[in-house]
Amino acid sequence: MSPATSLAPERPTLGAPIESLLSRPSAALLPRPGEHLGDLLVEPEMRVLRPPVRAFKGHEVVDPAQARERQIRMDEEASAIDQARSLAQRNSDSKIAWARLAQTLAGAGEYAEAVEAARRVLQLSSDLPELEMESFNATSEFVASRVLLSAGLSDEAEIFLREHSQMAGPWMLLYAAIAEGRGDHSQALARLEGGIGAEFSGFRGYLMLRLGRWQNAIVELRAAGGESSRNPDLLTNLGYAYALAGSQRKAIRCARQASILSPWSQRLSFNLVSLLVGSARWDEAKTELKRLQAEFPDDLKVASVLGFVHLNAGNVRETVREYRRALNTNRFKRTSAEYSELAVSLALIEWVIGKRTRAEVLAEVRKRIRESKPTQAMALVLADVAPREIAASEVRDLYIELRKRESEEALLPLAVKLAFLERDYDGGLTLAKRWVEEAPLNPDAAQHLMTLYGHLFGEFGEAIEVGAKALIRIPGSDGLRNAVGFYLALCGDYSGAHKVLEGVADPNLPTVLATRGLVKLGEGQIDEGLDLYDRAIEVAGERTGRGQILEEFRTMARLYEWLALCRLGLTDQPEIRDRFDVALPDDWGESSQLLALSELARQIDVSWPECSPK
Amino acid sequence: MTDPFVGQTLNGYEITRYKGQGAFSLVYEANHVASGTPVAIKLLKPGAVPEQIREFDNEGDLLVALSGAANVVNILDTQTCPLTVTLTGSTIPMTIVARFHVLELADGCLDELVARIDQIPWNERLSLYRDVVLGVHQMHCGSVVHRDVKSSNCLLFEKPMQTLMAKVNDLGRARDLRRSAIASAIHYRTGRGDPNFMPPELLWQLGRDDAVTHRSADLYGLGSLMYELVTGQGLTSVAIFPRAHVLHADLALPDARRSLQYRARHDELRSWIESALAIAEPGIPKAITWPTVDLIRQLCNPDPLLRFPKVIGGKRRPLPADLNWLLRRTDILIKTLSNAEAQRIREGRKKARS
Repeated sequence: MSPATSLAPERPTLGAPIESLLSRPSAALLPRPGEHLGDLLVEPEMRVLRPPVRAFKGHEVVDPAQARERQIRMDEEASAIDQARSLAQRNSDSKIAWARLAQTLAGAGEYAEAVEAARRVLQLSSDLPELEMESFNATSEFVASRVLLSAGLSDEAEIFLREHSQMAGPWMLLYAAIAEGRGDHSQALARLEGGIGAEFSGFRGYLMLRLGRWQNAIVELRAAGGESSRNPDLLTNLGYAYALAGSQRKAIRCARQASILSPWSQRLSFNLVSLLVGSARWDEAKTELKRLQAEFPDDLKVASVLGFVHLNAGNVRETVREYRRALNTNRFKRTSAEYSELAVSLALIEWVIGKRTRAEVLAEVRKRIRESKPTQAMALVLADVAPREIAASEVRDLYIELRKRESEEALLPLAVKLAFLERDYDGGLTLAKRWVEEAPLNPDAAQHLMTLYGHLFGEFGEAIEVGAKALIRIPGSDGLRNAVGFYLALCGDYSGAHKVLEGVADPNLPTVLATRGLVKLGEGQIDEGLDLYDRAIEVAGERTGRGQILEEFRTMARLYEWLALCRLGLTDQPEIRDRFDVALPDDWGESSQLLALSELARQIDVSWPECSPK
Repeated sequence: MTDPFVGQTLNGYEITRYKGQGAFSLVYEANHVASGTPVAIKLLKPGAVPEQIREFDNEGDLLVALSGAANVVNILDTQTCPLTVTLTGSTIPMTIVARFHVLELADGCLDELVARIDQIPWNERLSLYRDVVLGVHQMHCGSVVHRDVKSSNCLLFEKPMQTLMAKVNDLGRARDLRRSAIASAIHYRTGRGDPNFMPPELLWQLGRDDAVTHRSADLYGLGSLMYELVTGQGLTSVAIFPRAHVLHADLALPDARRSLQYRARHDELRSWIESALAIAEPGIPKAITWPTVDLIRQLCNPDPLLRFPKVIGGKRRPLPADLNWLLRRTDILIKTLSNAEAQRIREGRKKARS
């Protein structure tokens, strides 16, 4: 039967929210342009203690207490700059004085002058005689290089560092961080060679994760402190490495430890939840989210993830309740992207449970895209609900718009979906492979790649390999397990399919029941197989209500069943032919799922659309 | 452009030269007309806001209270007088009320030496460091905390035999722990002044108006000063500045959560400080590398309580109010260095003989 990705009701969430939850490995080494210490000093909250001063219309009124505080801050900043500047002027040949000036100016956000001062430091340093270079105090050069980096002039800093590449310790870290910032992980790793210490190991571990060398990453991250570390970022990276290496228990332990260390970090909590979801530990995921919700009661993102977990745990009503509650309490955020995403999610689920039609969901998505800034998640829903050709053109426009503010990597899910819609399967395959590399813990990425390999290119072996590898990392994904079982059954490995399907968390999932039906048919147990297909449709009816969505699922399920019977040469029997009361819709070319099915039919030598039962 | 105050006489003090400025004051060199004694005049900036005036007055009061402290700059007089000046950017003369402190005139500022620290012998650096520690110790003994220790707030005075002595100056942000606060408690949550020298807990806005917070901030200042004497740069600027985005993220949290978050970051902050220390290490003489680095490590610990001396024998000792322990450790550094130097000389002689 069909892999889960081919049926919208299987994943009635915004694209793949869990993918965005997975925290990426992080390295806090490089300064970021525009961020400086001067900004961090907020004014004391005098305004909390006194009522705000209201302005008459057309008149600007400034709270005198705030104005005084601002003046004090400005005076202090000006005084610090003045002191550093006069020190540099009095000691114009001192690299230390210029470095202090560069640092102070960068701290105050005056980058143009800071860069000049930093360049002066490097100039003075390069003028030093060789003898002095051997025993010199290089802190000023270090500060100057970092000021250049924080001003976005990494090339200039890199040239200096390259000339002084014999320097060890933090210099190597800085030199490597520049390469990492450029995305050149291999070079960054090479620059760290020989470095000793926790920070080196942590950085190397991070880079190895980026390069896909999980086992080496684990060794390095454990050397940097491992599970007993009190650094949440390091624990997160280690958990990520464990998850990729298939040690889910250890991954969860690390993620939990990181979340305990930073109990108010949503990022770390979501990371833990995503790993728990990946292992089908719904109750623990819910507990973690409830804890987070107690801290952030009105947070839309927390509500969205909690709803997602309820949904995956099979509790659609709870999801709807959670989403409605969050939308009601956040009405004032109506035009925010998060609110719109949640509203679209709710519409999608209501479609799944038969309370809305596809047209209504489509109207809702379009409305939300108009009202707020469109996001990838909304575009993914649009791709799922709109007729294929219309969706292709609208999603293409959205992709172009999103691309202006997001990286190509971040938009890979949408790019893959777009390739499906535009029937560019070769391009889709390349993109899906990149998506799997970028998001190896995302079951959706693996399922898309499997569908491309299996349905569209007939490479069932490749599809099974992708799925099996992904299952090691994400054992709790029923959709993935079902897809692997499906392709194993198509290859005739029924015992393998049985074994894979035994591990599903929800054995009554309609798609899983259908795949079991396929396995039974293959094993020659015709009646049992047909019964399982019937049961799949029945369960889908129980779970989704009797709406349009059930009809769509029923059509898909029957077509898959028919295809399986054709493949097994069982369609000649009149009693079997009589079972089928569905026909291929006239506009089947407008459905990506039916198009994929037609390709699958071609791959297994069943003619299409003549294979349609009616 | 001519300085409007140079050439003016303030109640018997003739201003001769502009020296520099602080956040709320201007510093001039002056002569006491009657005795001809050179002095420094610290003049409150015209247009200072009430909070700055309070800090200025507070500085005068504290300097008077600490007048017996040998390593804190001496105050000679505090006065207020009307003064007619033509301020910069204006052509109209106006009369202002000048508030000023008369201080002993220094021969320089420690940051001048720090700018050329590579040329300063280590025994002199340690001797000056000891002077500053002694100054802060004298302040702490008088229940006064400085809250802004850095090289640019330390003055240099020439002693006989062409040696230098450092004194603690600029008590604008100092606080007398026996008296009630001059600002609301919320003002003590963040540090003031240059963030490049600020203790991390104040960057995280977790300061409180209590003795432990203030004293531990001074200890951080002294650790950072030692780092300045090694490298020329403030420790915060080298260790924390490049990770400002981490701090930006944490500042979004409410107070109580931020406090826990900061505690969770202690290990991370320590590793940043270790990196900064690794850069400094090559600049320290081998004989005192480890004790110096260890001293900075302790004084600049992200956990303010761990900046105080370690617990001995499993018993928790009360946190010391004075800095005798730090003076002793500085003396040990000085002695170790001089022993190593003597040893080096002896070995050199032996080699020459052989």
